[in-house]
Amino acid sequence: MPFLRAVGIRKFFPGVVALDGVDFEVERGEVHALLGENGAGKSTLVSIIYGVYLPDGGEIYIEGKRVEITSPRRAAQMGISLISQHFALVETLTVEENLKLAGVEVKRALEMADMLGVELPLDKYVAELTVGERQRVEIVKALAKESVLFLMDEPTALLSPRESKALLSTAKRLAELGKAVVLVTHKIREAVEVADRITVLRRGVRVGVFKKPFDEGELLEAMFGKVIQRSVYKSAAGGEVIYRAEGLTGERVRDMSIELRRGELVAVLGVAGNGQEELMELLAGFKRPQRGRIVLDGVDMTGRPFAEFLRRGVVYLPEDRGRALARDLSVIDNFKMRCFKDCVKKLEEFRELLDIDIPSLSTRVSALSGGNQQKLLLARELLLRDPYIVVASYPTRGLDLETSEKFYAIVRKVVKGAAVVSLEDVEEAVEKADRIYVLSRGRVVASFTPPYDVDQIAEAMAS
Amino acid sequence: MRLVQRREPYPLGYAVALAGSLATTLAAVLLATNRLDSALAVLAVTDWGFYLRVFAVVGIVAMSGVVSYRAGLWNIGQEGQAVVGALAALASTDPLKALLAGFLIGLAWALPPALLRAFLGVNEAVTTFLLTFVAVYTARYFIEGPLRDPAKRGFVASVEAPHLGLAAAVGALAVVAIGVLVLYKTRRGLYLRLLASGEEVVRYAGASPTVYILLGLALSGALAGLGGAVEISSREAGRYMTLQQVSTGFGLYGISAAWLGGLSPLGALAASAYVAWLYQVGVNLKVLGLPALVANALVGSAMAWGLAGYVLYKYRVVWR
Repeated sequence: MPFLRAVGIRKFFPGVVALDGVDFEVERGEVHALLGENGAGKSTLVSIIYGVYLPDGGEIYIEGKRVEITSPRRAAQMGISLISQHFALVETLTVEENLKLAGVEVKRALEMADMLGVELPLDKYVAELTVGERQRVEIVKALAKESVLFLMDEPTALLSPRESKALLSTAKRLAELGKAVVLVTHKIREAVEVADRITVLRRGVRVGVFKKPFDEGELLEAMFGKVIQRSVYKSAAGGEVIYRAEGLTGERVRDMSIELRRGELVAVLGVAGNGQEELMELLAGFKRPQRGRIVLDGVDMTGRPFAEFLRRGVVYLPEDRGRALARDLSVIDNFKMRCFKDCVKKLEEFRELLDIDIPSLSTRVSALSGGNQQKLLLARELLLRDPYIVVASYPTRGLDLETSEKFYAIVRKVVKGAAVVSLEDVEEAVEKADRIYVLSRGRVVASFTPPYDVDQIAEAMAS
Repeated sequence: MRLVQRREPYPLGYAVALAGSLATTLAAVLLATNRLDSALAVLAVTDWGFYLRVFAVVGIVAMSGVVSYRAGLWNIGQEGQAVVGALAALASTDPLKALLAGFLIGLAWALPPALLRAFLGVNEAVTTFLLTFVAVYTARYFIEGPLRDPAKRGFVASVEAPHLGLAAAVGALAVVAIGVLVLYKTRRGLYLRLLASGEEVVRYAGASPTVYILLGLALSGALAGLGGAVEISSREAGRYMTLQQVSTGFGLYGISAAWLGGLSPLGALAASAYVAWLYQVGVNLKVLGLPALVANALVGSAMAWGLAGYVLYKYRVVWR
């Protein structure tokens, strides 16, 4: 009998079906990988099992008994623990103090660590520990508290290759000790290496459950769907190069070079956390690069203030809208950030055009829904201004399909020069972009031009 | 008891708060006088000249608070800035120069915290606050030394500030209030308000956050300095400082009025009128033999009620 069985789990978020009737089970003594690209619904499923979200449909059974996991505390009582990227450890205390704080006996913790074959640096402050060491403390803590099910949400995302390896063998060891382990990952290799079974999710649907021996090609296809050959945009691609970034280097971004040609829409694809946001900041001139050069229309713009980039028609749409909108100020004040005259009239016009839902012009931006904030931002940056180069970070995240289509339509229509957008959805990139750069660990690892081969792109992303 | 966020804000919350504050004040006064008729007499404004003078001073300092807090900057050193402003007024020969000097010295006094914040990220709340003590000791030095009035025998006091008429004092407040209102209509004023949402937003707007941090804190300090100058030079008599009486407390009243007024210039004016009235009540109580510091308690309770009003504006109280 599986330790945990979830049947027909459904979860809706406003405008999105995150999980659409997903079945999932995990047994004692196995590592079960939950594989899928970003937005496939892996984290949502794990959050439901851990009691963070309540499912909108479906049932969960633990050892055959129907349960309602209403909170993380409830989950912990049922023997479920989550090893996440955000730790429940107090940084200013030592490991020993943290264990005591969690009600774990130090002696027992040491036994568990021994059993697991890991070291427990009792006297060190948590702040001094590496991410991998913190994870180990968390795992030992969970083990000492008699957890049975270990949920690991992208545990290797922030680890060095060596630490990743160590973590994966710890996961295996847990299974050998008779625990049930769920490994959430988007890395096929990782899943293949440690998992006994692999469940693949795509867009909120379970595509299949795979058993050993695994076929990587089969898994790739399950993750990303069949090779899609969509119609290629007949844009003016092939126009002259109007923007060039050479060897841009920041804190995470390493030696990145990108070119934009007139009329192009270029996508930068990559799994989240690979330096996309910083790259966009650098490209838009919002952040100064440590090294490298930015040339716009033959003018060297490197290190110039952002205001200069603005004057040359650069539009930057950051991932975090809070950087572009003053949430405590009114809609009209926010609009006036870029508007110099006839602001009320223009805003009314755009409001109609984009169907922005604003109670009144003096409403605070924080009172608007996320989608409406995004629309307001698009109106101000794209419609009000005369955009030449658009640099956008996940511009369609959180938008419904119609509005995100509108975004691309507007960009195609109003941008005089070129646009570069960072995306996490391969299909969106394939559908919309004239060229795709794939980013991994702060570097461009591949670039593609149509016709695209989704497999190749996905592989480059997973590398 | 729980608080549940309201779907629609509830403006009556503030009316409840005002009623509560009035009731608290009345109760405190009744407690002190034991008789309703003398209590009502205490609540009345007896000296309109005095009241308007206090209103002008509190109002100007409140504008200093508005300028700072609306920009997300925490200048809480108004008291010290007012002290050095008053000191500058003592050293001036005519009232206009006194106001100008107060304005400039207040600005200069706020400049080190502003620079430290803008370039080194040092918390301005700490520095502006601590400079208040420096201001008090600086003032004492001047009272004993360069600005001591040798004609006042027997006790240590400073020379007198030039006399500023009541109309001029209220006029100064009007100029400041209109100035702040106009400023907020301009682009610079917009950037200053954007700053409250974070330095990145200002940068995103194409401006330099450093410039606006300096501008916001310097202007705030300047207004507080002006307030101090107006305070000392608009007194009917005794326009000097003694070693014991350097600080006047108007810095704190001004800060209170800024918050009570919801950080809007007009709101702060209304709140200043209210705080000035509470101050008058405190003075009336002093005549009855109670310590004048009762005024502080009354302003404090008004602040608490103001906060309660804000909570009621946003939340529903559920008794379960």
